[in-house]
Amino acid sequence: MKFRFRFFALVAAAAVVLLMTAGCSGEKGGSGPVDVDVGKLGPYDPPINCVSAASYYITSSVADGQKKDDNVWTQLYKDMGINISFKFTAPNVQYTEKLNTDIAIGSIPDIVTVDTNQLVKLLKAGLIYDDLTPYFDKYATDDTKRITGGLDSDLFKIATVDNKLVAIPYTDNGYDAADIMYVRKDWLEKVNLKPPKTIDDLEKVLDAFVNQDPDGDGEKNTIGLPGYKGLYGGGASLAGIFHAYGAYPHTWVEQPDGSITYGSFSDKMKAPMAKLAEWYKKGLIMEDFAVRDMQKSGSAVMSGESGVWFGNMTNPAWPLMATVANDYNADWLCLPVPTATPGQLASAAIYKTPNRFHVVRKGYEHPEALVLMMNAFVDKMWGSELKDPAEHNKYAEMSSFALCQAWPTTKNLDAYKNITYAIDNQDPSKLNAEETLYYNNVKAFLDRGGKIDDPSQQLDWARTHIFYKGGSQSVIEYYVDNNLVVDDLWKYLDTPAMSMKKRSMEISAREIVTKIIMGKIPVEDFDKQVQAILKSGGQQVINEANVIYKANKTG
Amino acid sequence: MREHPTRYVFVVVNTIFLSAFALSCILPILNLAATSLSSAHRVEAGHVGIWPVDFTLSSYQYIFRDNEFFQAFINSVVRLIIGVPLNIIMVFLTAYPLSRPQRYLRGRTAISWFFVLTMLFSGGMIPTYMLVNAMGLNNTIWALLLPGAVPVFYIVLMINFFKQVPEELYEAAVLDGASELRVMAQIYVPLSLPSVVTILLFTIVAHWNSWFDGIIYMNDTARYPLQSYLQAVVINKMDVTMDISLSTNLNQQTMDAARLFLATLPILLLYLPLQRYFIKGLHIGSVKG
Repeated sequence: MKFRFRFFALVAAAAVVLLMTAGCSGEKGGSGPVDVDVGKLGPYDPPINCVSAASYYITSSVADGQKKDDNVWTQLYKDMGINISFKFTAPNVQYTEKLNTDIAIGSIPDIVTVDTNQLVKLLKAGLIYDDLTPYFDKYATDDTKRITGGLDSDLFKIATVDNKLVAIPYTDNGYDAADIMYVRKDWLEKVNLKPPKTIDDLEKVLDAFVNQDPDGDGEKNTIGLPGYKGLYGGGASLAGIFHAYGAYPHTWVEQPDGSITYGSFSDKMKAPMAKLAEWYKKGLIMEDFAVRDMQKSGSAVMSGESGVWFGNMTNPAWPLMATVANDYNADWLCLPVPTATPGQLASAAIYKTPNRFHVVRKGYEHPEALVLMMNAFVDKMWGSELKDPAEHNKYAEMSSFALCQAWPTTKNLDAYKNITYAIDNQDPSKLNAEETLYYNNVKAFLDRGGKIDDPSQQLDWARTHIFYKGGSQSVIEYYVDNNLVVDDLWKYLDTPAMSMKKRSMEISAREIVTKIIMGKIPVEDFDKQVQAILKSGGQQVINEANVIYKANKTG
Repeated sequence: MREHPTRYVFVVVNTIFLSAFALSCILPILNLAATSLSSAHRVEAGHVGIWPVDFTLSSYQYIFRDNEFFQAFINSVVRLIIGVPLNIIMVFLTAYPLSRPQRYLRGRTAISWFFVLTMLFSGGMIPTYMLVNAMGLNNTIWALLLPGAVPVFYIVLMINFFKQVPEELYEAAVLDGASELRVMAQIYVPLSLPSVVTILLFTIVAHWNSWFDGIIYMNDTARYPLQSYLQAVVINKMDVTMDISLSTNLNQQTMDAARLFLATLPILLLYLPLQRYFIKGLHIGSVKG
C-alpha cells in the first residue's frame, strides 16, 4: 500500500507540474505599448509578432495556391513586418463560439474581430485596450479615414466609451438594409394594373393577384403578400407597409419630445397594423406567415405563388431569381416602398449599427498594428493610388481572410452607378474588379435582349436587377437622393438592462404585432399590450437608452 | 389457438403506429437523398418530395471535388480507429476488476463510486476546456479522445454483464493457470459478446456523431471531424443579407443534402451487420453466448 501511495503522489505531482508549465503558453501578459518608429503602412524593423484569429464564410473559396492561414494578406502583413500567427481560423458561427470560450478563460488573441456582445463582455472583464484614439489618430491614412468615416462619424461613436475609442468598428454597406418593394411585372400586365405607388394601389394589385388568376393556369392557387415570423427586414419583410405610414418598427426613433423609443411601441404602428389585419382577413396576406421562416416564405415566390415581395437589395439574387429560372417569362420590378398618404413620399428605415469591431488585447506591445493592417486593407481594396484591377482582384478574391477589414459604406450603390455609366457609355475601363464581375453579368443579360433561356443564366438576371437601371440599387439611390432614409438612432453599446432584456422585449413586441395582424387581438388593445411589455422590463431598457442618447446629444 | 379480440385490435393499432413511426424515420432520409439528386431551382420551388426531380449528380460532383469534406471524413475515420479501441479497452480494464467480488479487490465500492461520481458531476465546459488547453492537447486529436476515453455508463453496463458470468468458470480458468488478463480476454469478453457489440456500436456512433468538441478544441476546419464540419456548413447558411458577390449558381440546400446523406451512410451501413446483436445485446445474459 505504501508503495502505491507513493506512486500516486508522484503521478499527481508530475501532473501539477505539467499543468503549471503548460498554462504559461497562452497569450497573456505583455508589457503594454512600446514606442516604435513605424510608417502608416510599416514596415516594422525588427518585425513584430501578432496572434490573431480569422473567421470566414464557409462558402468562401480559397484561391489557387492560397491557404486560410497563409495567403496574399498574411504575406502582405509579413512585408509590413507583422508576422501573423493564427490562434484559430473558423467559419462565422464557430468563430463566435470559440472566441466566447477564449473570453471566458480570459485569454484572447492579440488583435481580433468581435461582435457587440463580446465587446461588452471584454470591456467588463478589462481584457482589451480601452483607448485606441491616439493610435487611430496618429496612424490611420487619409484613405482609411475617408472609408471608415473617421473618429467623428456615427459608426465610431458606437465604439466610444467615456470619450475613448475602445474598438475600431468594422464598417459595412449601410444603405443596403433598406426595404424595397418587388412586384411581378408580367402579372401586372396580365391584370392590367400600373406599378403600385400608394397603399391603395398595392391593395388593388394584391387583390388582383389573389383573385384574377395572374399565372393563367385556370386555378385559384396564388397568394398575396408573403411575410415571415421575424416580420421585418431581410426578405418577406412587412416593414415596407409600416414605412408607408411613417412607422419604423424594430428601429430606435425620436419622439416629438426629443426622447427616443423603440419604434415597435410607437402610436404610428396602429394604422398599418389595422390595414394589415384588414388584408389578412381578406386573404391578401400569406395565411401561415407567422410560422414560416424567411427561407420558407421565399419558396412562395420561387414557385410562382406570389407576385409581391418586400425585402432588401440582395433579394433579386435570392429568392426572386429562382422565379425566373422556373419560368423564363417571369420578371420583377424593383420599386420604392408605397405611401399611405398620396403626395407624400414614404421613407425606408436602415440599420446602420455595425455589429463587429476590431479590438486589441490589453498588454499587447503594438496596438498600432491594428490600424496599420486596416490601412493595408483599404490601400489594397480601395486605395486612391490603386489603379490596377488585377492588383485589386488579387487581394479582393481573398478578402474574407483579411484581418481588420473596413468597407466603404456605399460600395454597392457606387457599383450600381459605375456599372450603369459603363453600360450606357460602353466604357468599362473605370470599373474595379468586383464591379467588372457584375458588369459582365449585366452585359450578358442585355446582349441576350433582356431575357434568359437557361437556368444557368439566372445570375445574369439577378445582377442586372441589382446593379443596373431599374434594379434594387436604383431604388436605394432614389431613397438617398430624396432624403428618404430613416436612420436607427441607437448607435451605442448595449446598456446592462439591454443585455438582459432587449431580446425578450423585441420578441414580445413582434408577438403583439403578429397577433394583431392575424386578428387574434383587436388593434385597440395595442396600448394595453405595450404597457405590459414596458412594465416587464421594457421601460427600463428605454430609460437607460434615453440617458445615453441625451448625454451624447447634448455633449 | 384462439386469439382474443382485444389482441387483434392491439396488433392492428400497433402495426399502424409502428409503421407510421418507421415512415417518419425513413421519409426524411429519402427526402434528403432526393433533394441531393435534384436540380437546385426545383428544390427551391418545393417540387421535390421523396423522388428526385430533374435528376442531376452535380451536388455530388461538387462535393467529390471538395477537399475539406474528405479531409473531415478522414479525420472522423481516424477518430474511430483510435477512439473506439481506446474506449473499449478502458471499459474492459475497468469493468472486469470492478465486477469481481469484494474479496478480490479491496475498496471496490469506493472505486466504483469514484467512477459513478463523474457521471453525476462534471467540471462543465469551460473548466474542461481550460484543462485540455493547459495540457497542451488543444488542436490535437487527443483533445477529442482523452476527455471521453472512460465511458462510465458503458462500464456500469459491462460490470453487470460480467457479474452474470458464473464464478465456476473463473475458478476453472484460474485452476488451469490463466492470468487475470487472460480470464478477462478469453472467458468474460467472449461470453458477453452481444453486449460488447452493443457497446462497440454505441461508441462508434458516439464518436461519429459528436461535433461540439471538434469545434471547441480544433483551431482549423481542416482538423474538424465530419460532424463538426457539417455543423459548420449547415449552420453558416448563406445569409441573404450577405455580400452578393459570394452567391453562386450552386444551391446550398442540395449540397447540404448531399453532404448529410454521405455522412449518414456509413452508420446506416454499419447497422445492417450489427443489428442482430444490437437487438438482443441489452437484455441477454452471459451463459447463452
